[in-house]
Amino acid sequence: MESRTHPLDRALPRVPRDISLSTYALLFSEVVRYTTNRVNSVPELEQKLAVIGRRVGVRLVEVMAMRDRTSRRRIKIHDVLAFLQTNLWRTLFGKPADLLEQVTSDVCSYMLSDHDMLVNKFISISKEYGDLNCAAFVGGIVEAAVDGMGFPAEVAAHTVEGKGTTLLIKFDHTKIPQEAL
Amino acid sequence: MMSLRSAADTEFCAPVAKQQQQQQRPKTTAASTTTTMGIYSVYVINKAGSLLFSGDYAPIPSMDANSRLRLAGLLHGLTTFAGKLSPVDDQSGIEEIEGDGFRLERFQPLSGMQFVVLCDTQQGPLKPFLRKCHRLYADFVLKNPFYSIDMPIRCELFDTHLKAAVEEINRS
Amino acid sequence: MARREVKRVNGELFTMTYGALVAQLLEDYESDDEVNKQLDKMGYNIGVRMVDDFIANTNTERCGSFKETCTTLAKEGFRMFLGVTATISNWTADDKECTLTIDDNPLVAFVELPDEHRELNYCNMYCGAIRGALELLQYRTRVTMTKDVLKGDKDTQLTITLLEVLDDVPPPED
Repeated sequence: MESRTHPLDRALPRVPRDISLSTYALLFSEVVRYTTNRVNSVPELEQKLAVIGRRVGVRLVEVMAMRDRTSRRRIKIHDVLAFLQTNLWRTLFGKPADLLEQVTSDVCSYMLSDHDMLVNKFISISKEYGDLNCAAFVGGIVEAAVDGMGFPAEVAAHTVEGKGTTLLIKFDHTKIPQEAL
Repeated sequence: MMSLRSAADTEFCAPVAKQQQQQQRPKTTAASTTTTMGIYSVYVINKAGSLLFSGDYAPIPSMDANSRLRLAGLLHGLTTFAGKLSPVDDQSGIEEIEGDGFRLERFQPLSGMQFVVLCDTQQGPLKPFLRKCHRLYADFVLKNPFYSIDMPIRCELFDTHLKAAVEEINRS
Repeated sequence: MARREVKRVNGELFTMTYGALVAQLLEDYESDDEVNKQLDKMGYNIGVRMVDDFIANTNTERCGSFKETCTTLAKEGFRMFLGVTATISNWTADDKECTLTIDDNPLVAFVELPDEHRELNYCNMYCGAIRGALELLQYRTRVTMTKDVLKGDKDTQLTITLLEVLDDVPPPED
């Protein structure tokens, strides 16, 4: 049997810079379909989509960190949020997130909005799925990203009528030092 | 390419009051009672002839559910028959039917799906519109994880985009 | 051949989503073989949907022979959906079997097959997708991976075998 070539010894693969939206949408649709068949409720579906998203988030943040050695470690929540809104969103979707707001009177809760959430572009949610938002997958990516930066949080994806998706990011205040806020 | 002209008054499409049978289709004039509302309705039929979607876009009496199903099945049967009649091998089946007060245009891409539009007689050719319907199907139906192939189409985004496409035609 | 502008998505998001899916399947199923089957099934679901997408965006009118269809799928299909070209070669004398080679497989970038999953065909989704697309075009086929970069080969190769030309039978349900 041929000896396996170590991935680092293989010719550097050229990851295509872009892939067609159709391809991604079809793959994502299949991810959702697969997951839907293994759950019994909408919250369970969103939770499982988030698990898959978290795996993406862990790897993505690794790759982004490798590429961006010049940035200092982000130690303030404000920097983490800016990272999400610009760096992470640009990498994922080619544009910054549309809106970032703090939830009134809660320094640990923020809303990150995207008016045209890519993963939801072709998905119609029928009544029997209630308030399902498949961008729970993106929520998982964000969870992994902030966790990797030392700011663990819970992220939930909400659908806003006519305004796309809003991710509600609730940082774990017990894990964040006062000076980072 | 095949085009079937029919002067027969089909019971399925009666946008104007039933008129007497005529051998020749009368030329529509300004004085005619033909409605000029562009597109009346759109149908999506699968390869086997099952109706997957029907949408009505004009304030005219619409067909009941059973009639729609029969239309889809009948059109499918006619097309298969036309295929047998045609001396040409590589042909695309019935593309157009004209009748009193209406025109039917049908588009069937290689995948076998059929897109049918009913419109008034003064409406120009709708092949580009039907191609757009196909694109909308490929996007908002096939990329919907909750849609299974050959099932009735109940995708809100498909509905809204199709409606917008129809309105764009009807406005011009 | 008219072609509409296709919107693009970050290639890494794509490969990482695929990787995350495979990881999930490995958790959900007992054996590599079951995961391979699941990847094939999911690929099939995608393949049957890709045909309309391809036709709708390229205004393809003619349906050629099995040979021509495979060539179009490899050249135009892979280019449209993955941004890479695949090549068809090694046709058997009866034109029923060929080899499809993908030089620059986007799915495997930075992927390493762990020792406990040597039987996993990481790219099995390609097999299912090609099978699904061909079946929608009335060709029932068997598509199997024959060379895998993750297992030490130089490139990714699959064998497409025509089993039956279908006569107006719609493809089976998902």
